[in-house]
Amino acid sequence: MALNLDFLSNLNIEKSKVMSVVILLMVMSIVVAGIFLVAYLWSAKSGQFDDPDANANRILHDTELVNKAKSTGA
Amino acid sequence: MSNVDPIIENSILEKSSPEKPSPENKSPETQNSDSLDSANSVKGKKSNSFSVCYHCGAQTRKPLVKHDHEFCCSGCLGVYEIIEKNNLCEYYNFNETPGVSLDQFEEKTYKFDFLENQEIVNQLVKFKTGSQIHMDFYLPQVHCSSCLYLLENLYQIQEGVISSKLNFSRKELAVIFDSDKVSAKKIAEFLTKLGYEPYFSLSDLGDKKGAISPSKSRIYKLGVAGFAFGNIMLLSFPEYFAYGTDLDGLKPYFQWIILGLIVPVITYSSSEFYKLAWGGLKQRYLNIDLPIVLAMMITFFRSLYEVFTHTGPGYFDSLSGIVFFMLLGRILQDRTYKTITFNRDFTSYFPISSTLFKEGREINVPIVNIQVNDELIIHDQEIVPVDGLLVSGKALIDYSFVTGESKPVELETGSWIYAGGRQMGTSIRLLSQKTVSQSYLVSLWNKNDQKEQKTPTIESSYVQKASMYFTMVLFTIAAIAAIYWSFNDSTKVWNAVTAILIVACPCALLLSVTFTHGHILSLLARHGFYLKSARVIERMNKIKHIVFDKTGTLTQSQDPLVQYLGTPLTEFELDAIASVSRESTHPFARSLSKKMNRIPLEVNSIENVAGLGMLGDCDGMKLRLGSSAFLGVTSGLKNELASQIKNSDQDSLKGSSIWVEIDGVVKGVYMFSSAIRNHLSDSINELSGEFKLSLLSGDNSREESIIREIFPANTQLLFQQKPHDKRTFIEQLENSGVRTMMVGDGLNDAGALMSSSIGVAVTEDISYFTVGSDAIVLGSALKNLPQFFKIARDMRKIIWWSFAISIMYNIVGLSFAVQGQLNPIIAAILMPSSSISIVLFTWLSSMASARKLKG
Repeated sequence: MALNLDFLSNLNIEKSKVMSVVILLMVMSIVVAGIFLVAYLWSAKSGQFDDPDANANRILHDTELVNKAKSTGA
Repeated sequence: MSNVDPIIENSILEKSSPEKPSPENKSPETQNSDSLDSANSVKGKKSNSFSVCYHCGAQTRKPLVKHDHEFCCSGCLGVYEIIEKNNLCEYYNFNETPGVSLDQFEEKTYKFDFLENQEIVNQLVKFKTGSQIHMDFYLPQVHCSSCLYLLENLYQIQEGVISSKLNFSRKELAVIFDSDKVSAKKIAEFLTKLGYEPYFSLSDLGDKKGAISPSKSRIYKLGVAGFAFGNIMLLSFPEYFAYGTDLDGLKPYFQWIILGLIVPVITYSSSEFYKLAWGGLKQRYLNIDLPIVLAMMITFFRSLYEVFTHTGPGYFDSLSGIVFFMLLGRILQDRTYKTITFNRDFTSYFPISSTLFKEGREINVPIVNIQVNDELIIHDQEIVPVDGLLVSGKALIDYSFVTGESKPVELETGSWIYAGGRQMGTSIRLLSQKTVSQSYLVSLWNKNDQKEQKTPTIESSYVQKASMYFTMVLFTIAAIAAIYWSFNDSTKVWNAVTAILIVACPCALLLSVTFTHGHILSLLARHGFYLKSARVIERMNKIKHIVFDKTGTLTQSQDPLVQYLGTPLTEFELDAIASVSRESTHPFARSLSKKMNRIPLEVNSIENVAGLGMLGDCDGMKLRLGSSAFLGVTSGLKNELASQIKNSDQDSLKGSSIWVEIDGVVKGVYMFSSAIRNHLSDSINELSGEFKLSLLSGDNSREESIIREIFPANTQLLFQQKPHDKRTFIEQLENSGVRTMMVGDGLNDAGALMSSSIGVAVTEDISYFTVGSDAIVLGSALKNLPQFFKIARDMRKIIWWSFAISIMYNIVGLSFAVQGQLNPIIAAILMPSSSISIVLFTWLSSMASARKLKG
């Protein structure tokens, strides 16, 4: 699976520029993945994995916001 | 209400209350149909039609009607009104009749008085900022999604509550409230009014600001390892596939990033393996973690060497993958125990406070503060916290948790009452003779505790043995390879030896063990058999002798057999008897009314005569229920009735009975005998083929004939065994080298459970007190015991097979490694594929093994 970058010369693009783009993409991908890792750790810390049963049920309670509006309006 | 969410079938859905530990309610459904309310305020004539309570689902003859909905009692109606007023009627949409029956509910105003005691409240409070207080309430009645909905909307109903969050598996409601507007006591009382009575036990006291739980930190570690694993894999692709191309120039950058990613895996994610390996080293004991850590270290340092000398990319992807899979396996293994706490001690059973009578006033004190010679007041259904002398009042003490005997004991003034008994009937006064920590029950517990600490944690198992052989073979191969290469091509020695140690990491063994254990544990738990750890399954394969306790283990003391003897009764009379007996506090009367399962009538002028019986009036018919002495039954009548029954049943007349008198005429007697659990005799028969069986009972030999029938003829049956006798019996067996499984319940078996190789606590409700047990089995699942043994044996086979699979992979990997040609790409393919195939194999084969339980 050898990569042939010869076609780049036909397009007048220097190989070194391609390299720096790859490095940039790589760093970005790590940063994005890092954001997900932080989100995961944060969700674990805030107890989202403590009680899956309750969360599975809680999602059904969609009336919560309606009631909140009612109770504050009253 | 039986339409319980299948997702949560594993959690404790049965109504479970440590305060009322008798499993009166097998499921919310039976709870509702059995416990009917007759304390109706509406007058009505008797009829055969009945309505179902919109709130709790109880059947009633005289419903209270509001908004086209019918209610069984004013309690349920009250809750409905609160819910309706706050626009929370959604509550009734999630489940049909989601409410908790408020039947038998008496407003005991003193019940939460201890929450006025600032000292106690301070210990219960989790966290405090200004007037905001964070506090947990344990609500045993929580059972469905509607409960969740209502309880989390508490802030809309109760002023001062800022928010509330329910932990469904632990049934704990975390409430944040404003202490200026509402008190903890008020919230407790309000929850009680809604039907969710909070329960506080002694174990709630003390420091609650715990550190992060080990399972939670493992979740963090898994996240970090997974993050590193995925990214390292991705970044290794150019290394594997773009070798010798133009991308070569990027290699150093990639390697530096990989190096950065591996650091948290090596330092943080795998920290628990280091700890376990170090623990094993300190105890001079080779556990499976040691060779794993060794392999990890070799992989890490060789990879570091390769990266810094630019000789290769290293094996960082395989390394992070191994850590990730091993953590995953351990998390899976731990998940099973989420809802169960083993070795719950007396503190979760004892109340938090007791009422003290001092200087003419009743005050609440934490029970740990009770001094010798304090005067205590024990109300109905309260637990005696310390050993003491009865000063006044009619004591009827239920010692079922201490002795296993279900019949309450009547005591005279001046007699000694042991801590742990539950008072039934009216309030009594007690002069404490010991402090809590010196009481008999607690000292029994502490004795057990010391023993527990003495038993060494080290235990040889086949997993350890396998890993030891594995390591030895591995070192031999490495040594041979080293010798070979030192003669042929000495530059390859280092390369070959490290490659061997890397590729043949025993983590595949660990994976097969953790995954198989995890699967089997969760499968067994799904069938009502909860093991403390996977080691218990291993130990099950060594058991030779099984010892059973009788009361509560083989028999169901909470659901006795009832037999009626005497003049036949009319339908109305039956209704009346059921209605009167359900008003009683006596356990037999209560179970009688449950057994009769009738829609109650209205009862007037109920009067309980503690320890003797009760009077009641149903539509002008006068009933008296109680002991023969209470009704003045003549011995002539007794003999006449006794002659009606078979000789074999004569014994049961000596047991517990309730005599019935209607309008001054003694009609007959209800006799109780404990029922052997369903299908148990078949299971015992099956077990007797393989194991030696014995029975130790704390009871007298009154039911010996029934027990004889289900055990094979040569079984040793011992009656009137004290807790100490049981323990000695087990210890003798164990000392003579016979691995014993003790199946028992209650504190009276605690010593025996702890002394045995495997102590199995039988319980109707897994959230209830279990002492010194290695396993907990639901009463209904006890009949599957032979199948559980079979699964334990299967598990062994599964592990051996997955060992074989991992060794096959190892041979392939080693064949490359000994030649000094272990390409990182080969390691990167072999490692995950071996892990995944082991995971799949163990999962499929444990499922296949558990199909035995379906039948």
